[in-house]
Amino acid sequence: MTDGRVQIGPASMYTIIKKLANAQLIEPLEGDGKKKSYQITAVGRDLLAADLVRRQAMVDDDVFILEGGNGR
Amino acid sequence: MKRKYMMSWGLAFAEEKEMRKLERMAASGWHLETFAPFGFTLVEGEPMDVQYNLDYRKDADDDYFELFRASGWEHVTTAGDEIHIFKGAREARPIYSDAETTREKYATEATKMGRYAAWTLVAWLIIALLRLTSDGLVDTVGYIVQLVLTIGFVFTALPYVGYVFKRKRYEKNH
Repeated sequence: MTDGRVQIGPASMYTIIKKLANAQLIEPLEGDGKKKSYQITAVGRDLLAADLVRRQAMVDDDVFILEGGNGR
Repeated sequence: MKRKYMMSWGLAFAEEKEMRKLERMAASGWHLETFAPFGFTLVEGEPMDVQYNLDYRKDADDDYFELFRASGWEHVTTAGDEIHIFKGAREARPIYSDAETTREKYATEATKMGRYAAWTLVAWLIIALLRLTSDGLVDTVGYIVQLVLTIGFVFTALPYVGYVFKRKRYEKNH
């Protein structure tokens, strides 16, 4: 998905998965053999959408500043 | 196969130092086999260039070990169902990749050791009070229990301090 941009160590990964699962932001997919997979829940999707809005606002501010919005 | 003992100064204080020492030992043909009382048992073999990493995890399940395997970390040994040591090739990526989860590793241990130390201290104080109003056998038994609790306190309070220092280190780098 991230094309090697994000590389997470196994101990960090396990901690993060447990936290996301406990917060019910992700849930395990059944019957996946040895390699366990998870999918995002509705709650997780809502959180991601809210975060996108927040980050988009930051990007908009950056663009405003960089595209000559100095002083008003 | 020949084996030898390597002493540990306590993982709360010397984790990194001892993992690096285990790597130097492996490079000279002595490989970590298991934990031993206050140290490690090494077994003789071919010299190998490896890295060792340690993690604390209670109730580690198959998924846990599978994640390590998939990232090139081989499980070597476990102590007390909780302290796990893994061996990886030089190029294996670190088992912790961010400050937040690393901080948590030590925060969990600090909380646990702190709790043990506090309870040991409480028990010590209760017995000290009891001994004020008793003599003879009760007093003697109380003295022995206090001695054991004192040792218990030292071996939980010191690691607690060690883990708190480590936790703080990762808070600063956050």
